[in-house]
Amino acid sequence: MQHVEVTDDAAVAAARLAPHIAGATANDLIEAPFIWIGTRHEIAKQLLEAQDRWAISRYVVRDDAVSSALDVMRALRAV
Amino acid sequence: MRPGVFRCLGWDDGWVGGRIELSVQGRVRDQSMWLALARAAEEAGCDALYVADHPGTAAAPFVALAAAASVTERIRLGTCVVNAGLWESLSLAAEIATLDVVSHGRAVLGLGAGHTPSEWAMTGRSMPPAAARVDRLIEVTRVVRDLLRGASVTTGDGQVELDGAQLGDLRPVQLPIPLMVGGNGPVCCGSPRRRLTSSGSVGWVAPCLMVTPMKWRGGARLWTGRSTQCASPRP
Repeated sequence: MQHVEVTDDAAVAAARLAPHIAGATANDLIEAPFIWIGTRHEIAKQLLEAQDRWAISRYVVRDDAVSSALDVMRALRAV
Repeated sequence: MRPGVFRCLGWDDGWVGGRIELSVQGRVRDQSMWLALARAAEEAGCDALYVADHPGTAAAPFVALAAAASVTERIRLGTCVVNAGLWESLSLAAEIATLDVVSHGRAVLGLGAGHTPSEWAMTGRSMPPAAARVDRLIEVTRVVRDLLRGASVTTGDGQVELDGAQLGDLRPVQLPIPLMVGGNGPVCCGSPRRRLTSSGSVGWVAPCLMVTPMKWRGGARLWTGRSTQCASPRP
């Protein structure tokens, strides 16, 4: 994952990140399967959709994002 | 990162569509943090611990992964990913085979075509164009896999030069060692990649999602085969 950010306001977080990535809009970042932005439940929903749509089932996060990623995995169990 | 944040999650229980797995890519900063990360990732049930390969920027993968192997028992240990444009095929095959031996069959070989010009420039070379880098990625992958299965390899197609190369008594535990290809675009994700994986010796190919948001824009097309996934921009 290129960016992992568990936040209550995905739109604001994506708008903050978008200017740093040439050619990308905030909405691109929210939709991209290699970026997780949102509440842990929103991200968990995104993972299920990605699995259904593209059969993506394995993710790699950087070490500084592990704690957030594990929160997402817990949310995924509850979906 | 604190090891204490990890819990054994058991995230394999009964989702529609099957298990979603999490792996960690770590940076090696000092011994205690690195080994703590390895132990914690294993304890949390992570599938694999990965190290990147960017000489001149960060620690090298194989020594770090071997150290991680010594303090873990289950987690896979892999490169994410080595630059096939810089590695010599026989050395790469020997490194990954040795990692597989010392980890008792937990190595994952992640390969990519390379993308950072300074990694060539620092050794007096220029980064080749994308097509040549992908050609070399394909050839290095093919040759390394042949070496890992015990073959003697002679080849000279311009990308890889080998003359009776072999690993000798060094035999990996896994036959084959799982392969992961990092790439984007229809060449890496389309038919050449399937050709790489079609000869029956690859266990699985992890998703390669090294697609930049810029390229992703406008939609995505994925090639999905048996236990292979790949994302790429729509051609």
